[in-house]
Amino acid sequence: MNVTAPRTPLPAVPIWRNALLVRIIVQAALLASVIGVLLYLLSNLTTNLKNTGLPTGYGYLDQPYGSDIPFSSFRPTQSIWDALKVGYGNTVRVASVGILVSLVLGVIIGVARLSTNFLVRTAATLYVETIRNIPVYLLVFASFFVIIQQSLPPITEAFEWFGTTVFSNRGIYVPWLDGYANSGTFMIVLGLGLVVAAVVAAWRTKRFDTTGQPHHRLLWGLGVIVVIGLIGYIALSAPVGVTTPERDGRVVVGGIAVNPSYAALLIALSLYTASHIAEIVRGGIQAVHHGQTEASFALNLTAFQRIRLVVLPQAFRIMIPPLANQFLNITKNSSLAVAIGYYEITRVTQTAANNAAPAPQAYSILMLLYLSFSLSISLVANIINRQLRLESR
Amino acid sequence: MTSETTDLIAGAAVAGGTGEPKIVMEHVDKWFGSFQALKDISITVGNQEVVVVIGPSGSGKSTLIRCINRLETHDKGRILVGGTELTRDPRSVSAIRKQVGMVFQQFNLFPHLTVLDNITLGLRNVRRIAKKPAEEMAMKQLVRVQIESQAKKYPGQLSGGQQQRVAIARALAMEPDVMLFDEPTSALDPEMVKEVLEAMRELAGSGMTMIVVTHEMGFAREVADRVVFMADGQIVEVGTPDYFFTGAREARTRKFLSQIL
Amino acid sequence: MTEMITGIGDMPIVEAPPKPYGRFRDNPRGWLKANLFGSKINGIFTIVLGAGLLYAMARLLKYVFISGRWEVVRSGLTSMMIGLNYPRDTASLTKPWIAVGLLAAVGGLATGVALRRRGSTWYEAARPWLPVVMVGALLASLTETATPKLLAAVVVVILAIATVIGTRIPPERTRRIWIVYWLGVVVAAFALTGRELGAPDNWGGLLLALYVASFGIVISFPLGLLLALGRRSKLPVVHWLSVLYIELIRGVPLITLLFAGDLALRFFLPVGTEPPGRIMRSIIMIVLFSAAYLAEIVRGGLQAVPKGQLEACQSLALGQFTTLRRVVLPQALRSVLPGLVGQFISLFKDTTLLGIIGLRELIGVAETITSYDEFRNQGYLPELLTFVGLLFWVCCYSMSKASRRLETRMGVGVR
Repeated sequence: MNVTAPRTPLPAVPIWRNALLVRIIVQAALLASVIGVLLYLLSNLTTNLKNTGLPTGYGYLDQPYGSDIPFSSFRPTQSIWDALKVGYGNTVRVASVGILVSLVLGVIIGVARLSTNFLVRTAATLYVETIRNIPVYLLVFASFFVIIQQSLPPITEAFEWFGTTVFSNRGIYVPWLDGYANSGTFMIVLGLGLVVAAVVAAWRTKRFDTTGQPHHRLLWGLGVIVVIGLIGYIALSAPVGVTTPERDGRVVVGGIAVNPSYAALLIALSLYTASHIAEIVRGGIQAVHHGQTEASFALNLTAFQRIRLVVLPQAFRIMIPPLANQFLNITKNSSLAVAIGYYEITRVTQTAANNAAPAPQAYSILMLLYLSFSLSISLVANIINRQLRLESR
Repeated sequence: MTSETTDLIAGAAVAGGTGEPKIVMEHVDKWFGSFQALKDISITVGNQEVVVVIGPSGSGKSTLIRCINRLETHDKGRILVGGTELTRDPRSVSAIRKQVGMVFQQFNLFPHLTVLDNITLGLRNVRRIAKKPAEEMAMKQLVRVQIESQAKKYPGQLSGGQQQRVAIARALAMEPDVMLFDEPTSALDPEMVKEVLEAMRELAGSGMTMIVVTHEMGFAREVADRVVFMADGQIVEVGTPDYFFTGAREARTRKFLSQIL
Repeated sequence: MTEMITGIGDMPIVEAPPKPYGRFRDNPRGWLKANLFGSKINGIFTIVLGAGLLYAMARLLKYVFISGRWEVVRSGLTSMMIGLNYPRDTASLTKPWIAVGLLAAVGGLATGVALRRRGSTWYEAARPWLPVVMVGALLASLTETATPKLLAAVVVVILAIATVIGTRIPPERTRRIWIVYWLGVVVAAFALTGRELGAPDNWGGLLLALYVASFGIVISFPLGLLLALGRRSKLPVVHWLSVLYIELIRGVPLITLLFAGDLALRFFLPVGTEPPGRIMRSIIMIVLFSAAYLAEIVRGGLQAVPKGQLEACQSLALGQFTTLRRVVLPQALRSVLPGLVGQFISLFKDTTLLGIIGLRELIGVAETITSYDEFRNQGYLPELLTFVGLLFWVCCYSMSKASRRLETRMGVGVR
């Protein structure tokens, strides 16, 4: 039997109360007004640019940049576009090295904050609480103008450290590798060694899986690569050597020069970001439920096994999003280089804009470049995050 | 099975209710993505009737009652409450929600408001009642569930049983025609179950139309006019408590009852 | 890109682990053994690190008391507080003091009210003010004339009186007290700027930093709230426009926005319009910047409101607006408060970037002072930067401490 229920019909819906229609109209109106405002701004832009006699397109990128870029082979006659490429490389250089350094430093300090040793704990806390509450620009500024410019001697009185490193405010010169004959072959041998080491490590892992014997795969892998490297080095009769910098008056020969601006920026950004990463590491470790530690005790895992097999994998999962955020921050903060003369993309753009490149276009490109960094970091973090996501109902 | 169950529904509907049916569901389907949560549900709840819905977890019990006040949208079929059909029109939704009170498993009290403010929130903002009379109405309901002494406290300061009674009072204060209970005792410690069931029993005695999803078989046996057994999104059987607990016809029902009793 | 980037504020709050082996004063030997010489490696750590820390401390003490030439800070103090070009006539100099006095009154009132409402002790109430008072005392001791010292004393008296008044207000009348707070802050702002609300371009130093940060956070908050709601909207156009805005802004450094505001903004104005002053332009960019970050903070708060709360509102037939205003926002904003303080701190720190676009904030002032004849080429920068760093550190540290206390208190109180 079907129940035919009595029905009180609702009054017909007037058109302005039709929810679906209202939604569509509201959204269309919003979209139209946003586009309208953008178009209005764009028309202002073109008129203003024309009135000032600036180009309206992006053709200016092919014009010569007009100034030097220190510590690079760039020449002023090359185009603005080429200068941006050099700047891009410099941003990548400071960001990637900065990420590595701050990660290592941050993990050490973060773990130190949880140490049972009172002094270690206190020193780590002191570091974090001091650095975190100071503007990063102050650190960049101070590390360049105080540490590099004021504390390092001028080149004529450069400080030479056991003949290996030359410190001066014009640059820091460190020893570097120098290839002789056969150096290319040696590189190939080292590459092969890496492959062999990986195979050996895989074999150790497999043996561990089948027999349960301890694997020591890191030890074995390292051993293999060292042995192969040594044999190759002797067989090819010393294909690479080390050059040390030597100062002669105002000229330094040998070694490799580190741009003092780069050094200052790297120091400041790494110190600052490390203090944030330390907090993330500490929070991540503490967020692992105490029951997990107790369960590890109950299974009689050693302290190292407990941390490596139980605590860290769980902590790592929590830490990924904020860590990615810090990597993004260090990339964005590398723009502070603009104040200390390190030619990454912001500084390059800034100089170009001062040399008559149209500011709106120049800064739009700059923002796009930073967005490309952000998007790629987020993309990688998202992929890792998805891989590690816990399966649950 | 459709013809068989509808027969049962029809027979029991007459037995339980008086006057016009309060809730009518006709051939209701509900999908969550590719999973069908409700399959061709048809049921009528009469005025002043108490219907208890039982069944294994994931059988669609909660979805069924959440469709009635549009916490979930049904995809097919019709749902009528007090003669008004539930449609996409926001006014029909709001008209029906005013007639239907609901009590949740997790209480869902507003943690930032006192017990009294929890209850007056709806009275003042939906029914547009002035502050003084709203508070008097709220106190009346608190007296009814015997928790008037806690009116000035925050939900976090109460026990689970007390919180659930406040939730009942909050729903009752809106003076609904129908009350829905979604596993009201499942989140409670055992010693607090009794006080909540007591309040529900009193409510049933006062002639409220109720649909209760619960695992409390004692309550079902004692208070229900009809029991509905659901499995896999379908209504398997409908009958009086006596019928259920003395020997249900369907094998699935008997198996479920033997597992929990 | 949408879901992943979350700040440290999103980390689950955990209680600090119990300090191992009790307190030093209960069992000094046990404590020393457990905390410093638990194992051989621990002992080595202790000795090496202890020596390093002692050396650092000695160097620091020497710098502070012997080698540091602090007279440069003394003579540049006024400039660091209000800027190099801020007019130095009495009327203009009084304005910041009036603002400070008003803020002290508001702060005292709030402390007093909290004191009474929570029944905490005087010591607990005074603690958050300790760093502020300490720095105030340091600043007052560095001044060259007596008037600022006197005025500082007056501010302290105002603070104390306001606190006492705050404790006298009966709790049932404090529900709308925030209106008084707002009034105080707004009047303080007007006392500084006069009738036109923008900051004049001759401001600098701490005044500029604090003004830009406060103004930025106040204006960007409603914007951020709208963006957060927009991001959670079911209307696709609203949702995607919000996401686009938030992610675009969060993807670029503030300094590029400031540059764009400084150099490119004027091209977007109608032909013939004078662009606003330099500080106003920066404030506009900072508001646009901060709104995107606040939107994410508020979104976190909105997400923290359980779904059951919305269902309860629906079952009561509450309208969408009422649900938002009476149920969702009160809960969401409460959990957002620490994040809001955090955003204010980072905005305050970011005001240093104004120096890069040529405004004379604290670092800019410090740089300029070293170019004055009497200080040029004598390496005065470290002293000045140390002072600037100390100012920032005290402000940020005490604010973040306060917000952490807020966090723990709310964690206990709400549920």
